Amino acid sequence: MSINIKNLTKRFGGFAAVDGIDLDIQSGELMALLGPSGSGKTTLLRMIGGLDYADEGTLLIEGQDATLSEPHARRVGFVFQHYALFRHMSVFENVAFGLRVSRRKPKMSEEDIRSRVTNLLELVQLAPLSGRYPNQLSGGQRQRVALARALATEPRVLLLDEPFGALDAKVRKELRRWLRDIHKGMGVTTVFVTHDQEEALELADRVAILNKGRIEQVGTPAEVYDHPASAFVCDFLGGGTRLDCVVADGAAVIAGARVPVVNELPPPGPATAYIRAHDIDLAEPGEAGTLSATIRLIQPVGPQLRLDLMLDGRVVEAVLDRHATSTPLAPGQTVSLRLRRANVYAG
Amino acid sequence: MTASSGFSLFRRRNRSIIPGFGLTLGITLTHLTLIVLIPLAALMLRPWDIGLSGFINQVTEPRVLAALRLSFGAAFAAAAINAVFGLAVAWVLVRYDFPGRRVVDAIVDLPFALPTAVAGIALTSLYAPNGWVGQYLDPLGIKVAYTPLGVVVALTFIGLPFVVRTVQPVLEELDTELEEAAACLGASRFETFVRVIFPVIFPALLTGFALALARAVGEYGSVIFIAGNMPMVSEIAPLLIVIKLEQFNYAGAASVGIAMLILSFAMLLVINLLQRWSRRWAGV
Repeated sequence: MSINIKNLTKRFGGFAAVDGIDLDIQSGELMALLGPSGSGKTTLLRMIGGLDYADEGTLLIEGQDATLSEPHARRVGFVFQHYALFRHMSVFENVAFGLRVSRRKPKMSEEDIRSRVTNLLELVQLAPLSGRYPNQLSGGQRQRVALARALATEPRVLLLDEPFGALDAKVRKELRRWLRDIHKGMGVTTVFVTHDQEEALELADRVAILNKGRIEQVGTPAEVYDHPASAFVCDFLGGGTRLDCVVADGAAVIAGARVPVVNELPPPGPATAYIRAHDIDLAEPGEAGTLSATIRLIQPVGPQLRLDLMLDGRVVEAVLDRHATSTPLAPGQTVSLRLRRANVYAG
Repeated sequence: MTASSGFSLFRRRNRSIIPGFGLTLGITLTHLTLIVLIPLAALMLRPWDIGLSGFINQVTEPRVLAALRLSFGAAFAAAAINAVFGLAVAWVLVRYDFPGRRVVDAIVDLPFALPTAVAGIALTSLYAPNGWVGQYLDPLGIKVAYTPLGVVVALTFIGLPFVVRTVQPVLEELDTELEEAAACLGASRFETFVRVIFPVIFPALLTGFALALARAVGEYGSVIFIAGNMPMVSEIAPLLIVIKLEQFNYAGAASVGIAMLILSFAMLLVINLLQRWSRRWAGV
């Protein structure tokens, strides 16, 4: 179900955690709220869920004003960062909790509850563990119980706070794929909060990037990665190395070399350029438009070769394909670089 | 050679990163033996000269039975009252911030610190028919001082801190996310308390109840002032023991002591089992 947020503001003391945010989330969309800690992303999520109330602004769910309605009246499912499972209840009872509450009308028969919970536990692949207590589960299993519990009440909107934050890399990757499958299967509008740009870009249909309580940019993962609207977005989405440059003649001049600019060109004069590690190539020495740098560190990481290069007294990170790099490299060696493209912002 | 390698294997298997098991266990056992077990054993052996039948005769005396009934009944009632109101006090202290919260928090500990005789005398003068509180209760036909009700009041007073201080830390640790999760799932405040909060704090509440109960059963100082100490009506078992001692009836005193010991042990055992059952979800 669609969510329309207008000028939503939340202050804690004098500090505006969420500062006049406008955001439209389409029905069935998988939306990521991405930002560093303290950017207001969790507060925004909690306001959508009814766990915090906005000081200003409005929130519509499915076209109806839900700014001040109670959490259960919004019919949202919330998955907490630390799962918030009821540890004195079995997995089964945790998932059944929302079906047994007295507000639920009409009352479900025990038979219906049993079949609904069993179906959900099968969906999250935990059916054999239904009698266990949360203490007896691994982190990934707890996460799946929390998700099943949130889905049990058939919410219109699913909200997840840092859903994979506390899990190790492998489990996280599995759960990501699996969450995407579930989202596709059920079609429920889903909003999740993360500080991990890779997670947001990999999972979401659209990403909203937050900074200091405001939205910096909203777009598809490709849009925000390829065309970061601000220096902050560029930096946060793996902007690479920050270098001073001068904008002149439709390009950025970095240490004497002209580098093509991909985003909207700022006015001529001094500016800041971001060069992503993948956008740096080794070139033949003496080729036009190349820069000379010294290798400081070489690190093979899986299929990549990561280099720390000294360029004009600054450290520049470069990532090369390990198998495509035929020339032998050694620390201390001087090499020629070509900067393929840069994002440039004024100031 | 074989023996020594076998020995080292044995040592290795029993090695623990936490040292000092032998030392601490030794200290623990010595301490418990000196402080707890030897006095209790002496108590168990004392009435031996009157034999089992003598013990049963002593314990089944109507006056002794009445005293035991009062001691345990009043202690149970007082612990139950404290469980309810102690929980409320702990809840208010943890959940709400109000002016004077720290003062209230400190007041809770006073029954620990006050000499029990002082507490007994203060309560007696308050609840006596001409006391500050008693003068209003008297016309209603409610007599507190010098009745079993007075015993319950005194035992409630001394037992309060036990419940508050055991429940408080558990309430403090309770994650507010649990309540938010329950609210999102549609539970009312009442349901959230009954189904989410209470089961988590119940084991601590039981512990507080058991401590208050144990303390109340053994309480002497505050009760003898307010109870009036009428045999068969408001005479508690510890007082009866003192009376028997003053009459040089050592075996009789020890018999009442043993009866109290057995009853207390049985009650605490049941509470402990109940507590373990209520925490069955906490195991790994």
